[in-house]
Amino acid sequence: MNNHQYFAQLNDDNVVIDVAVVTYEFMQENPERYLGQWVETFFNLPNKTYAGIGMIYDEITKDFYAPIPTPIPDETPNS
Amino acid sequence: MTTPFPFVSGAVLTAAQLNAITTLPISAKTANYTLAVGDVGYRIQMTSASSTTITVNTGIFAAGDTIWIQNIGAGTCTITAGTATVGTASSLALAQYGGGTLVFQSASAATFFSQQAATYGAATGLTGALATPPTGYSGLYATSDGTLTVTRAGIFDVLMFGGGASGGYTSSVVNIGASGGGGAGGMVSATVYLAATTYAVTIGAGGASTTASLGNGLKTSLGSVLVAVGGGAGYGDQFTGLGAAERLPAQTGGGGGGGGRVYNAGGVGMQGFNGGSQSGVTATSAAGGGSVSAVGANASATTGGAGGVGFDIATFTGNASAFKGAGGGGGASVTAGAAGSVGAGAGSTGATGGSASANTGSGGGGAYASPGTGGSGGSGVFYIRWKS
Repeated sequence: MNNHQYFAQLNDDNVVIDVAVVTYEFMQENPERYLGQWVETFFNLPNKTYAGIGMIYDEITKDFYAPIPTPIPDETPNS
Repeated sequence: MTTPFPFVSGAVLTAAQLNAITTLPISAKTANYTLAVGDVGYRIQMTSASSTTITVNTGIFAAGDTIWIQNIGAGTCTITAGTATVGTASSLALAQYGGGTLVFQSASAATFFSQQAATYGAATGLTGALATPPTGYSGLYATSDGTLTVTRAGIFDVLMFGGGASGGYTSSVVNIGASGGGGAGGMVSATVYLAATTYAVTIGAGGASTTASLGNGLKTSLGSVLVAVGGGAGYGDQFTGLGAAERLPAQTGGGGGGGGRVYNAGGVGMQGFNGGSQSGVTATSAAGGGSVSAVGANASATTGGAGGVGFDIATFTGNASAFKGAGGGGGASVTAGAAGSVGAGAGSTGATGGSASANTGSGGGGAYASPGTGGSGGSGVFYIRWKS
């Protein structure tokens, strides 16, 4: 039941802007639904970071890393 | 009693015939038929077990003429525009026991006012068919993006879950802190009418976490008809140890993420329930993520909050009991929060929160370490069924 794959869509700065749960074959058959650049990412695979929106793709290591988190300006912490 | 129709000059009607004047005479048909002028004021009643047509041509009827059409046969009876035009707000294909009124606006144009009850449609495509749907139903499921092809327009029951969110991160270089459990993806349970066309089904990915990021789940959608939003991530504890501003509160989502020591409140659930709260400033525990059925449990002292329990899809799919849309457990120093249901991520007393399973729409667990990573959320899932 879980033979699908995960692909991350990158913008021009290699920042992840979407993640799709889809087979490679379906992407090839429906290119109109998957415009732009997509790279495979792996869910819970050791030594590979599963991509999330906002992460950055490193073309050398072919892996994803996180940017420094951006605080929410309007939030006031409790302490 | 049937009143003679049409009346003719000199006819004498009995009281019973006059009282029965609202009972229109029946003109039974057993095969394809083209309407004639003598059908005005009649009930055209199709009785065929096979598919049939009732054809409407121009130049036969006048404005205001009315014909009732009923299909009592097992075969679909389709009102077909021959040389005349026939408009309707519903369908001209009449399933068994469907019917309505055909009213002419002119000699060449008519409108069909359907009185048939909504009927279930049928569809193909997606990942596969439901293996053991409830008696009388057929259905499909999708665990990845696909195309739903509706082969017969009608109503469908849909059950779908957005992607679950990740647990929060714990990246302090000064203090060890607990991170909150991820919220479940939103759940949508609806009965909708779908036209006979194709629909893009998109399965929402689960949210991802690193030692410096948390991730909300992504939406699952049925074309532009229905959307189940992704879950909200759990509280992320401080990144560099330089201040509260570098922590992130529990996020809003389908189910809200669990709160933590600085931002105590759980995230808001939009298509589910809120994440649990953290009652104080302690760094040693965080709350559970909200699910589609319950709020996440609060954190206390050194015990993380459990995630909210998920929704059992067995009644919808006919499969064995299976829970989707559960919240992830919060991280803690001594006793981490449990997963809301099997398939969601449990909280951790270590560096890595438990990840949710794929296609559960459940949240990942929080962590307790420096640094630590929240578990990933599980991707969403889509079910559709109809009476067959």
